[in-house]
Amino acid sequence: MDVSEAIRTRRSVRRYTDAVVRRQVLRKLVEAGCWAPTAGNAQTWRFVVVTDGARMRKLRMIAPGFGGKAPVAIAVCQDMREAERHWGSETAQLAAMDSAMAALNIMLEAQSDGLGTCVVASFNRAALQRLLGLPEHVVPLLLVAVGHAKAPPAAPPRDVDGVCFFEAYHE
Amino acid sequence: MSSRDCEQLPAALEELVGFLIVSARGLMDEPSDYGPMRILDAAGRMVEALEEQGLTTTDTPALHEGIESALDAWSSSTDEFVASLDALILRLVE
Repeated sequence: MDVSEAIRTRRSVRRYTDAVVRRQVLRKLVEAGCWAPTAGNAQTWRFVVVTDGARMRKLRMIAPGFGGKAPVAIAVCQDMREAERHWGSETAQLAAMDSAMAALNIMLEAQSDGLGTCVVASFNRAALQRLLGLPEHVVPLLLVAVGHAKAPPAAPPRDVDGVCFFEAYHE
Repeated sequence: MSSRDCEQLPAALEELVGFLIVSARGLMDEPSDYGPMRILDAAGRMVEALEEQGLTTTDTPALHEGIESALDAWSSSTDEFVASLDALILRLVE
């Protein structure tokens, strides 16, 4: 699957089978995240891959956006102490951007491997930090649900002509 | 109801209670239209917990499917979401 196809076929999947995702595949997904653009080459992201059943049940409880029963969650985190050394007053914005770009790389890599994903920002940050054993300065910004899609949803239409402007914006 | 025991049901219901508490907190900061979706998600999780314990009726699979379809509709179209809920509600009284 080429990049263009992965971009156009990716969906926010909320229904998954029970099939296990191999550890080797999960490492490849995180590696894809590490190849994302990163402001000033800071690479202050940290990734925690959760597969344990009991931990996943708790994660589903504290992450209301985590619909369905994906067997895997990848928490995209930032080491904010290190990030602030790189980015200073821009840390919050750049940390969010870096995390989002890493998450998208993970999702596109998963799509090309035949896996479904869903990116989630609705979770209780303090509870997730405790569940994952994160120190205070390592903050989770996104969760990516990963698994074998049972029923990929239909894609809402995209209005490219309505949002794309050449040379200058116009109403 | 199957012969399976219900040892896991209290834990599943506790997780559902936890989900509702976390959702209540989250919704203070999230878009207001997340509220209906979270309630429906909770209903789906409850049905799922009952199914896992075999505590089902012949109507349960269709109910679960209806909830899942409505959740799918939420992310694509408000009108479709509302229509799915309306259909689901009418099915409850058949």
